[in-house]
Amino acid sequence: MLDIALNNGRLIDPAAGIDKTASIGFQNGRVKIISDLPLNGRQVFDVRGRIVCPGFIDVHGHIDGHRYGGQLDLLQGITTTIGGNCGFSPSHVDQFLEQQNQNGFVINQAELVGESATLREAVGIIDPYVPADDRSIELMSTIAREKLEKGAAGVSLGLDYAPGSCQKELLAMARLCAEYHRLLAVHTRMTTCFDLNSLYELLNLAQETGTRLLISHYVYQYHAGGVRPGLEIIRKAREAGLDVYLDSGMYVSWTTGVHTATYDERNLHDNEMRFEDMVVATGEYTGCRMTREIYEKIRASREESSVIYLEGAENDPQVWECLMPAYAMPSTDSMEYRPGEGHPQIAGSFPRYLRQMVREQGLLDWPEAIRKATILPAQTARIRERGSLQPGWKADAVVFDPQSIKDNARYPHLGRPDAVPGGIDCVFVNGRLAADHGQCTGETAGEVVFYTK
Amino acid sequence: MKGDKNMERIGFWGKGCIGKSALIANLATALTRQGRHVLQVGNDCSLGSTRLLRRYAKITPLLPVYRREYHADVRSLIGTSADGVYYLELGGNESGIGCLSRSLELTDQMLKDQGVDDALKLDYIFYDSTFEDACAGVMVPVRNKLFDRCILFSDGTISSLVSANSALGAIRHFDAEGRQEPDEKGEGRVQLIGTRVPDAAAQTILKEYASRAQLELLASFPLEETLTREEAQRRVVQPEEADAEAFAELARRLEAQPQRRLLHPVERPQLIDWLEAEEEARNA
Repeated sequence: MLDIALNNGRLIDPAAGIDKTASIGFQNGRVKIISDLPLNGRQVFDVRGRIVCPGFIDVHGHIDGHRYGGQLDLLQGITTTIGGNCGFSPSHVDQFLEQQNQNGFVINQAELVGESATLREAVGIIDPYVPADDRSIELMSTIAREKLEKGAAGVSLGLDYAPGSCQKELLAMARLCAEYHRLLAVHTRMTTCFDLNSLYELLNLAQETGTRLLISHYVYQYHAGGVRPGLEIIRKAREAGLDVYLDSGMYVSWTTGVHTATYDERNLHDNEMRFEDMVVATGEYTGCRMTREIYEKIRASREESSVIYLEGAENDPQVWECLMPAYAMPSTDSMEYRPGEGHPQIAGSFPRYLRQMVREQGLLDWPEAIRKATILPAQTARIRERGSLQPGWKADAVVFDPQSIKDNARYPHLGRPDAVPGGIDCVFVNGRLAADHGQCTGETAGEVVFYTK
Repeated sequence: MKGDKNMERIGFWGKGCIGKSALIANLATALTRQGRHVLQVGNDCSLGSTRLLRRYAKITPLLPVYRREYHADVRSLIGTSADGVYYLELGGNESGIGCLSRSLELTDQMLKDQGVDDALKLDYIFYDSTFEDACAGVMVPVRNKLFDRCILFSDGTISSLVSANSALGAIRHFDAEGRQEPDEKGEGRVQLIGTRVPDAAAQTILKEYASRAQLELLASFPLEETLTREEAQRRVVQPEEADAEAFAELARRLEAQPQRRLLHPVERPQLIDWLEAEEEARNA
């Protein structure tokens, strides 16, 4: 008998070319059957009027095993997250993966090896403004290779966080990713908001090594002046045969740690960043506009604080433009926060993507929007057996109401950044009901995505 | 190679159309005639920095190749003047797209990674940069400590002096960042060259500015006639010509390493007030 039967929904599975009214059954964590007739099972759901599609895959997160962040991901329909982005990952990715595998987690996780912060720190590079020397590059390569051997999804760079990184250092990581057929995910290095050399230096890596390149949270990087020319650069690079993709979020205002180089005084000065445009996202000052006094206090504190930089309009059309190319996919940039803290991206990204780009703006139709959130990220990150609901594949699925799916999360000075979205009925992870009408069920059916050579 | 010294990267900064690139080309030539190996890198979209060195030889600028191919074989893009000066043009940006902020660093990285500086046994790389106001983007290579020394240019006019002073302020600012000790703040190896300084009054102003900013005035040339002729004929000063010794002397002075010293950019409003008052007095 089937464990789960979802009957009479609109089944959209772009990878299989399916968009029709159908029923689908899960058994032992996998898709068992797709039928034009209703199915029987231990749990039967009548999902008439709802869309049933593969679970969303977030290629750019920082969940890294954090429970509440994982739950917020789940509640917006994400069933697989890739962590370890922007050069920050657990110190021992291999041990992390093993531990997560043993303990279970609310959603599936793959993990990148972070270079710009984690590996550099591991080999003793503390100053983000200095390049790695040959010995450090060799050491970092050895560590990264070991992690890739043990199942890591690729390597991530956060060049804004290590602006001193030299091309030789980046090439070493790109070569490893190419050798292992893994992803090189890069948060680009912006010396100014118009700096498109930040893209060319990555395309050089792809051209030299053949690595697959994922440009991270594109709109955050380029909204101030480079969205359209940057997209044109990437389009040409793809035409030239380079293996390049991008992910992008649904907000323009971005957040990062107050201790990173991004919030160094020098960067604030060079880019004319103002305290009045900053909102503290964590800790005792959550929701407060930044002041010199708060800045100095939280910079001096050992506790890591996130700070949101407010930019652009609430519905900046550049957000949508970044996600229009066929190779672009939505992402969250989500991370661990305590309840009531954070950036609305942690709870609202995917519902906002569907609400705005499909239902309100009509920029994408449902199958294309779902393709970009499911099989495209799966193929980009070479995640097997996920991103589609073909029989035999892992039963990760979302059931939502296309008429009412919406984000409710707000910036912390305006509301709750972790408000649960509306319109999502159920989320299934490996065939188990993990979220039911905005509530986590307590299931920890998430698996670790181990990569093998 | 330069005796026991390492190769030196010098950033030359000045506003456009004051004869900076022509002077740099002559300086590079004079050094080459004295046995040094010099690469002059121009970052001007008109490919104007190296006009006198390459004369009418075609040159392929580096950045368009890099943007098109995602790789550039830098050595194949470097030309050699009749006197043996190596030259390279970067070619600037596409109009309205991107910013040049990191172009010099990318180029320098390529020169290093591809072993060009070693292969050519370079003693100096001259980075010739034109600017009006030293915004953070323009000054990124200074911020990131690309240069061992900076040389500012002025022809003694208000606009060129204010631009040079703006660069000096940026250099001081970037050096002072993050330093804790008050006596370490705002140091640098910075010198000033006067070029196309039209008359004695302008020479006096330049000297007075150098004194106020506590800058070493490395040289101050009139050279209007020489540079105009050279630019018209697209050639550097020939060894037998009268001005050749002036450049040879400048080359010798350049070889003496300046000490790091505290920088004293003049407050901009005061600088403009002073220069305008001088101009008013002259015209009266």
